[in-house]
Amino acid sequence: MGFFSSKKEDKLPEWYAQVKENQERFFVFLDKMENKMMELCEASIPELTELYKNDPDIFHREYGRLKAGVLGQLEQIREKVDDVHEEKILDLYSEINHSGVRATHPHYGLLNDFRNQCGDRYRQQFEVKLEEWTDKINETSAEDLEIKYQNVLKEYDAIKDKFTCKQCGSPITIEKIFLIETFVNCPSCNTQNTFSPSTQAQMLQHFAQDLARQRTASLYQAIRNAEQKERDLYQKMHELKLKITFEKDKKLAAQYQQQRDAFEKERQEAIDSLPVLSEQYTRAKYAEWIKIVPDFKEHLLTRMENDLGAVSPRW
Amino acid sequence: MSEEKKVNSFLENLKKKAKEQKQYGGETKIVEAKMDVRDCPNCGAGRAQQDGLTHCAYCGFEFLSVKLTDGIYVKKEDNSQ
Repeated sequence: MGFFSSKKEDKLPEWYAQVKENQERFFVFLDKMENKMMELCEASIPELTELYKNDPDIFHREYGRLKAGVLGQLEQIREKVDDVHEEKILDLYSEINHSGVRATHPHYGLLNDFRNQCGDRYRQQFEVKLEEWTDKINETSAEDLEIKYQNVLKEYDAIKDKFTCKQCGSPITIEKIFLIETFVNCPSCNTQNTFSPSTQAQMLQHFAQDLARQRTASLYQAIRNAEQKERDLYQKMHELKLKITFEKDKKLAAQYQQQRDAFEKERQEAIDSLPVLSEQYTRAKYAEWIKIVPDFKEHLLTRMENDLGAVSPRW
Repeated sequence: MSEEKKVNSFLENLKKKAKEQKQYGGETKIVEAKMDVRDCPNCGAGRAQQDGLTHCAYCGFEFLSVKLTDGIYVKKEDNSQ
C-alpha cells in the first residue's frame, strides 16, 4: 500500500448496503408491477375486443367505460411506481448527496450508478412496457373505417330515389348524403318535406376525421419517424461527447468529433424536415376529411389553418 | 387470493359497473332514413320553400321561434318574410 492511498476510498461506504437493498427491492417491485400490468391487460384485451364488436350502442359507451376503467388501473400502477421511485430512490440519493457525497467525492460514482440504474430500469423498461400495453388497449377499438364508409355510400345509392313528396306524391331525389335532418323541396308542388337521414348516415360526421387519419397514417408516421431519428442522433452525439471529454488520444478524439459533426448535420436535417412533414400531413388529412364530408368544407378549412399554425402537429 | 383470481374479479366488477351505469344522454335508436312533412297545425296549409320556414304563409302560425342564420343546410334566406 502506497503512502498516500487511502483505505477510505477502497472500502465500501456505510450507506452502500442501504442503496444496494433499495435498488434490489425496487427492481423486484417493478417486476411485480409489470406482471400485474400484463395479467390485467391480457385478461382485458379479449373482453374489450368482444364488447366493442357486440356493443349495440352506436357510440360504444359501455365499451368506453370499461376501457376507461382498465386505463385508469394502468395509470394507478404508474403513479404507484412513480411514488416508490421518488421515495426509495431519489429521496435516498438526495439524502446521501446532501450528507457530503458530492460529484468530487470518491464514492460519488456508486451513488450516481444507483440513481441511474434505477432510473433506466424505470423509464427504459417499465415505462416502455406500460406504453405498449396502453397502445394495445386502445387498439381494441380498431376497425377498418373504409368498410363503414362504403356501407354509408351503398345505403345512399339504395335510398336516394326511394322517396316521394308527402304532399303530392311526386318523386324526390336526395341529392347528397345529408348528415342531419334537413328540408327538401318538392320540385313539383314546392312543399318543404323533412328528410331524416338514417343513423348510419348521421354517424358519418363522427367518424370522418378518424377515416381521414387512417387514410393519411403513413404521413403521420413519417413525422414520428423524423422525431425519433432526431432523438436517437442526439443520444449518439451525447455518448460521443462523453468519449471526447475523456479521450486522451487526440487523433481518436478528432475522429469522434468528426463523427459527432456528421450526426449533428443529420440531426439538423431531421429537425428541418419536421415542419414540412407536419404541413404535408395536415393538408392531406384535411383534404381527405373534406372529401368525406364536403358539407363541412368551409368550417374544416378554417380549422386546418389553425392546425397549420400549431407548434406541434395535431393528430 | 391468487393474482389471476384478483384480476378476474376486478375485471368482472368493472364490467358490471360499465354495464349498469346509465347512458349519458339516454339510449340511442338505430333508425332508417325517412321523409316527412309538417302542415300548419293551425290552418292545415302546406309549407312551401318560397314562403320561408319559420311561419305559416297563410295564417302566420309560428313553426320556429328562432331567427335562422346561415348553417350547413338552412340559410338565413329561409326565414319567413
